[in-house]
Amino acid sequence: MAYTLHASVLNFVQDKTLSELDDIDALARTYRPRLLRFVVASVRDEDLADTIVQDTLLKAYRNRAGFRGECSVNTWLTGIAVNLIRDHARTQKFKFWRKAHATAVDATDMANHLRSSGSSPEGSLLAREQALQVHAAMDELSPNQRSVFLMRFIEEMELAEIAQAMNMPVNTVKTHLHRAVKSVRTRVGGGRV
Amino acid sequence: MRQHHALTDEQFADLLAGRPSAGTLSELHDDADAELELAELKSALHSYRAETLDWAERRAATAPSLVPAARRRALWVAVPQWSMAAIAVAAVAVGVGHFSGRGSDDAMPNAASISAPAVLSSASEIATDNQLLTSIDDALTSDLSAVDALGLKPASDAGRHGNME
Repeated sequence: MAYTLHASVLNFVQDKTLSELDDIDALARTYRPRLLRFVVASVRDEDLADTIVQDTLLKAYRNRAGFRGECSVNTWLTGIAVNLIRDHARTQKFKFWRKAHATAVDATDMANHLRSSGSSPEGSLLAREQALQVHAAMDELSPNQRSVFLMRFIEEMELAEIAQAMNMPVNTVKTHLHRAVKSVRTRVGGGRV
Repeated sequence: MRQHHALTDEQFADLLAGRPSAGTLSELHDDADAELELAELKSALHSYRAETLDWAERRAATAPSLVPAARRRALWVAVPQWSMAAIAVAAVAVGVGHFSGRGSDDAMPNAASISAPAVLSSASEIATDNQLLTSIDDALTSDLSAVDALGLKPASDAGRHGNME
């Protein structure tokens, strides 16, 4: 009896998820902001991030029949975005841009937003300064470290979900995460005298 | 500059994620510097989360609908695979046909290209062209008569007759 109930609940969840995936605008409304935040923080270019997010949502919509509900929609979408970011990172154009960006001041729209007056009630000067430090500290991380750090502490995903999205073992995720934490600790508040 | 790293990075990651072990928690309570460091980093991450999500929500709100793009792609996917293959085969066949006869027929005029204008011309256009040619012939003939009437003959004719008046 308990098994029957469990199966029906699972079917209900899956049906709900599939209907959610059938409406691409609803999908975009729900997941676009978080995806955009993750992708911009990863690639540091808003226009490229817009394209990657759009491609992520379209790819998910096109392959929605293949989504078996083994993970959350958010994890699934993040995994697609990670793969698209990796594809872009392999292009020569992107490599050239990264090289140029390494010596330039980060003047992205998001960085400017962090510098300007924060919108959150607790957006004090100190909080904004700390947020900027986090943003700058992530620049020093390797792509994998940055992705794992973002997923864990900004997107607040579980280690198993990150492993699924990154398509790597949990232990590898932990290694990237600990190295990222070490680097960020040094740059954000770690230099206290 | 002193860096206070009494807690390991693994412990710190667990604390940041809100999943510390009991041992880590007791170590933290015994270390005021570590508590301060954790509070600072937690606050920084919280600010970063809030500010960047606010930015992303604003930007996402102005993004265009994905429905047209999804429809375009759906249509593209809906085209049967065999029709795509047929188009590809036809394109290759045309290409091969075009390039295979090219070497031997370079010197010869292409019959199709010559006959094409004739095919395109209507019967009335042909009649008009013929009329025009006839009138040109007539005009040239009458011009020669005029030359004769004026006694102006070509130099070769003059030499032959030995008359240069």
